Amino acid sequence: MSGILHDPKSYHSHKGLYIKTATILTVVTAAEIGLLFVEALKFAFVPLLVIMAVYKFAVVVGTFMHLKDDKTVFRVVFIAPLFMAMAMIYVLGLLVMPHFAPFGAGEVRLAVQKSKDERMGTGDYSPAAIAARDNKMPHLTKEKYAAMFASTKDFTAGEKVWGANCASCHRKDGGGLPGLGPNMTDDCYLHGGDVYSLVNTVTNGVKGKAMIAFKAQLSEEEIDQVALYVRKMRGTNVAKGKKCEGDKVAAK
Amino acid sequence: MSAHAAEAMHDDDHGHEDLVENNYMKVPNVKLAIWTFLGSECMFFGSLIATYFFYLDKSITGPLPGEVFSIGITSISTFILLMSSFTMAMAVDSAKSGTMTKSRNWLFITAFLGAIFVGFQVYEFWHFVHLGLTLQTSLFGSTFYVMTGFHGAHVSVGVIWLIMVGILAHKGNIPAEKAVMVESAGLYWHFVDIVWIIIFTFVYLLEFAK
Repeated sequence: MSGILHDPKSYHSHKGLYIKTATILTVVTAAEIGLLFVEALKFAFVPLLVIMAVYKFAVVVGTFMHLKDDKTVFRVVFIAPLFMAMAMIYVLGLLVMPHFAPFGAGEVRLAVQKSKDERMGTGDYSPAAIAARDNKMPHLTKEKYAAMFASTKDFTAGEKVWGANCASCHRKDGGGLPGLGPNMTDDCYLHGGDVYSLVNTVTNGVKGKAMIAFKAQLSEEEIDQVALYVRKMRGTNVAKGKKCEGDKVAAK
Repeated sequence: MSAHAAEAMHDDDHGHEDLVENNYMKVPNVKLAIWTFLGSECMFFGSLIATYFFYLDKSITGPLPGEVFSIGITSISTFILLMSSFTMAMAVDSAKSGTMTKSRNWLFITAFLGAIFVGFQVYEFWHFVHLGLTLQTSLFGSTFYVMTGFHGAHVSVGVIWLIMVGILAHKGNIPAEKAVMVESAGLYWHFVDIVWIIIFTFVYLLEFAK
């Protein structure tokens, strides 16, 4: 029978396994701390640290607490509340890290970002900026933009605006200039590649960068036209253009 | 097992009623109780950790985590606690092997390592208070002290528990068949260690990874 009265004679010591486990735990802990001094891996700090912590957790529970080989009922009474606790942390975490939300968290995200920006005194919540983030603009409706996209007149007008205002920094063909404007003919954007973001960037400029605000020099229509022109440059990849900067978007 | 054999065994083992096997689950009641308790502890520490992160970066006044945490000191105390999990596993292993003297020694070593960890935490709290971080200073102060304080209290309770089991083992009051008494204390001890594994990585290391 599988008595409760433990029989020491039939027990096989796990000493070797425990020493091995302790060694592994030491090595992983040393790796965790050492990792922080490897600047080159900075981008992967969070996932690597999380993986190592979860691994250590699993090793201690599985081997030292021998949950791995013990009765199922122990796994149930421990792991079920463990998952409930993790679910609770995740749901509460969504309030501060809404980008981990699986669906429909756009409004929460904006509200959270706004409250954070207000606290830190940063962020642009002008109607144009919000409209750009939400991909809608009062003066540039979807229909109007579709019509502009189809006409050559607006494209030619945009080209002219480009030549007079943008080419000096972004190069005549849009390939970008070192230390000045980025390449507008690849699929990469620092401040959004959709037409609304482009309109917003041209209108308000980028604080602290060479990109100035054009709302004083250009009319609303001219800005729409040049944004259309820039949008149509995407993916043309002119020769000798600057390397990709910012986020990659779909090519066309 | 026949009824007769069961009766005979019962006669042989007076004094083990507290370890009686759960008839339905076929596991020792003590162990089932400990695992269930540890399950509830997951929820308990889960709430404290979630609260800490919910209020992280929302403190109006300093000192902030990055200004008070010391990676060197915390790494040492973390390593000590981690090693105490190893010595605890050895205590359980010795008890199950029937070598109670060895088990007693491992138990006292484990309790000693645990006490060192608590000592480090007392120093850390004292140091932080001198840097101007108290329970009332900020959201960081409140959530940090409550979370790590409850963990430290758990370690302290564990130290007392281990010393008590160690004394029982020393007096010869734990026969090898009752190794589950050492094992139960061990499960609690390992749990306290895994809570610290999570806190160390998510609270301390991720702060330095920023």
